[in-house]
Amino acid sequence: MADKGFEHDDPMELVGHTYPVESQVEHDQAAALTFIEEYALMGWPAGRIRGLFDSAEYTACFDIRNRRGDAFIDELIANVFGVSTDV
Amino acid sequence: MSEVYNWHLGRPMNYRFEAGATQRQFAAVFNINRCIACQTCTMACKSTWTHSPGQELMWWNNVETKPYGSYPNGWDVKALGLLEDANPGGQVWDGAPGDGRAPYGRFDGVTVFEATDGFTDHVAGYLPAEDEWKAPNRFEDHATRFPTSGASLPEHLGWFFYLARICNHCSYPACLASCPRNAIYKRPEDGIVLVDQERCRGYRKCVEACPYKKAMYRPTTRTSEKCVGCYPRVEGRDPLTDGSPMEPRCMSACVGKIRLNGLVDVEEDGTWADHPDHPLNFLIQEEQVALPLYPQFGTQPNVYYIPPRWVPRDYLRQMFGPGVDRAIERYERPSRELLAVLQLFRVTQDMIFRFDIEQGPKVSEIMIGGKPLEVFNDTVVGFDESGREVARVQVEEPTFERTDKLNSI
Repeated sequence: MADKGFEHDDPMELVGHTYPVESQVEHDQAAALTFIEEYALMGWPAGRIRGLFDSAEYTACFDIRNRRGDAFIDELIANVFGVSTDV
Repeated sequence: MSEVYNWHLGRPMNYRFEAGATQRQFAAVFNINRCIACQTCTMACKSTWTHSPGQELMWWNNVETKPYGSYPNGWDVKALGLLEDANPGGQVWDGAPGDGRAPYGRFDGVTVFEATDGFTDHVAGYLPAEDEWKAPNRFEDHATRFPTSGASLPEHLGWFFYLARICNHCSYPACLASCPRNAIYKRPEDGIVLVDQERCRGYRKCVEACPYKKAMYRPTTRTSEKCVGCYPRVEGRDPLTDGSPMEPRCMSACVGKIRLNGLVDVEEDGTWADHPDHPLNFLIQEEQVALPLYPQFGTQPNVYYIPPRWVPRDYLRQMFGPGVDRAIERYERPSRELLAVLQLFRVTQDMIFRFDIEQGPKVSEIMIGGKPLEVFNDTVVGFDESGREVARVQVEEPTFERTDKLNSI
């Protein structure tokens, strides 16, 4: 299949638009914390939640971990559970 | 024009008809934090109601990716634009939450009913072009390009969320107010809004008027159609529930367990009866974690949303009104009772009319927002219309993980 670049006159071309957001909002942290806290409230243990960030099956979590690294995820989980995720 | 009281706006407003006597109202709560856009609801509806010739572009239920997607294209931006044009700079709330008759404060702008002269048109709206209905997921999951390695999907690195939508079965329906044939009616027994197909002549005024664009034209019958709230199920005519009201197909098919639907009692003045042990009253009025979609349109919609907690607040305030900050704060750190009621989503097809909570032991203490939160393994019990127990679930739902050897796939 040929590589087709952006064409301005293509009405079906993806038109992403940006929305101004508060500069202090840390999107990766907000998204990751949502996953961690939602599952924590459902009774999931820390280790099991950590597994979401290790599996490519869970794209959102996996992408955040790839962008920010293991330490970033470990710290967020530790802050919620107050324990090491090694357990 | 009559004057009716709209508790979403916290004030009276103009409407074509006097407020009707709806004894009960079809209502629902959608928890956006849980939606994964699997579109199971969409297909459950499509395969039940809109699979016939002339309905190809109809999606009574759709799930759109905000802020990029919309069905029909740009429906909300256009509706908001119409109102802004009618009242430049004046579409604001007073920012002072009040009592049950004005829980979100007072809206000082104009609604779709007030942005017209009430003579030439009863509702301010627009008629989407046919092309705008053709791609319900346009600009959402379309490939951005076709490199030799295959198609690539757009990546939303900042933020986005999935907005599931059906007809809101509004208390003051814009479709109903706009119909020159009076072919649209709101049922007093459950508040479901229907189009009388015998009376409808397909003028499409309802399509033009509904700010949520949930009335749709069918060219083969030359009439307009809309979500019917799966009323045979709501009436309890499905044998599965022994005559008890049952949730619609889109609700009961929800994989992500984001939906809870039911019937709430309505007072004569149009406000909801005080039933704090009804799960919808509890979520919407007691805890106020679920909010109406674009309440400023003025139709008093009856599908409520628990807003997505990671999305910029300005965007959410425009979409759900000034109750957003309080709703997210309470959802993030749920009370013991709220955490239990949240477990009732999608545990049964029966509509739940009352819940009871049996207290259980403390099972953990976690940190939410830097503060400790005790989690108790309470049991929440749901009862149907007749008082029969139809749901029983714990906060910590028991799970069983099978070993690899048991995997039969």
